[in-house]
Amino acid sequence: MASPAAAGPSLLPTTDILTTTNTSPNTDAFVYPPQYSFPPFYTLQPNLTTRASQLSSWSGLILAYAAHANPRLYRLTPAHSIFTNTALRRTLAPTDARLVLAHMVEHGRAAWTDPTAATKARKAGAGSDGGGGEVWLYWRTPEEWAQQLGSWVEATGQRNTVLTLYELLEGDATSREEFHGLPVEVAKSAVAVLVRRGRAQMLGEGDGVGVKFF
Amino acid sequence: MNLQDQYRMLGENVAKIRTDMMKEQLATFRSQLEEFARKHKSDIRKNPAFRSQFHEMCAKVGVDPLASNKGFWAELLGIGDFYYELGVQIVDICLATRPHNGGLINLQELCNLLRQRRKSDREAVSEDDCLRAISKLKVMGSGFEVVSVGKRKLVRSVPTELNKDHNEILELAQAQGFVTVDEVERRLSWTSGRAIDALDTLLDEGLAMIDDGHKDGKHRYWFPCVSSISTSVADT
Repeated sequence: MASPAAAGPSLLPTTDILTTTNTSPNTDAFVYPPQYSFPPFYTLQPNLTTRASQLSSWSGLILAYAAHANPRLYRLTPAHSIFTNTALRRTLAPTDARLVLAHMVEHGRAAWTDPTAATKARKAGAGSDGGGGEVWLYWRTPEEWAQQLGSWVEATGQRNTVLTLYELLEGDATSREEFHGLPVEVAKSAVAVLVRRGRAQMLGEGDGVGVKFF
Repeated sequence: MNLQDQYRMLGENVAKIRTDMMKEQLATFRSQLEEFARKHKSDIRKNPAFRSQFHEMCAKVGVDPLASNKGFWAELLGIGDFYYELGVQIVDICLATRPHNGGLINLQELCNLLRQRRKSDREAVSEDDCLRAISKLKVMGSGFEVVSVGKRKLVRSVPTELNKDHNEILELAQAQGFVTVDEVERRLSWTSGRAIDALDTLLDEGLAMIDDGHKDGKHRYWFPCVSSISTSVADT
């Protein structure tokens, strides 16, 4: 069986294609959706049907923005600048922005960085005191990241090899992959998907945590 | 036979001759129209302005090329399918944008979205085509209707009837895209109760969106159906 180093060069053409179509840093200006320039977008709507549409538009905007940003955006608080449109002089209030993030968490497009604080904040009446308001953004879902990790391991012939998370996310070998630079916490939720499917195993604790793919 | 009978028979003859002549003229006209249609088939299909003029000409002689999909005209031109397809796409767009605009959409915006969706198609689509397709939907009892508000045409895909008050507010909103309670009271000389009632109904129907972020502290009621904000058809 070829070692990863020997397999590298023969894979170059494929990775090159991936680089140009998939993982090249975005240099084009981000195109905001039309709602972004619509003043009522920054007021939480009283009509529940309209509000549902508003929340899902915000979710779509945030995810598109985060995936397009350079460097990419992985975490967000209700006070982030995305919620302010300076030209329009409108800001989605942090309490309302928090509802947007909660909507995203509910739909699997984000996860609270501190779930216990999030629960407390909700019980305390959704305060915007900063407690529990931050999320990991899932512009790729953990399932999608898991798919990418799995494909990379497969393509580089590293099944049954123990890799550290650091190697996977920060190593030179993955510098052209979309998952390169992924925060450890998000990567762990992706690996958890593979573990549940019996396709990976987590070894060790803390910074040196390793993963073995089957 | 008396003179009176002779006159009557003569009269009947003249009338019959005139009817026959008219029938003949009409038949000639129709066959010429058919020949015209056959000759300009591709123009009719590809050029929306030409198509609209052709429809007008047909209407004048009492021919509805869209009356039946199996009819001679539809078969000849294939335009029955064209409008049927447009109709399906219009229903799609109206449903997809409904959460945002409450089921009332600017005809212009509808056309833009329709063109975006059909961009692979070479055949252009005009507002006139949209209106024709919608009138066919109406026949099916789908509740689609075109309402005129001020200078604009809006397409309604929900059964909500707009009353006169709502229409006046929408017309007022066309200038800036929004209205305030003050403005409605002042411009329409309404009591504040009447203005608030009508605006609340429009909010409830999902036709209005509220904006309380302006520094003057006044609530602004925006109307996606008259503000020229194109909605990206929701993908999530």
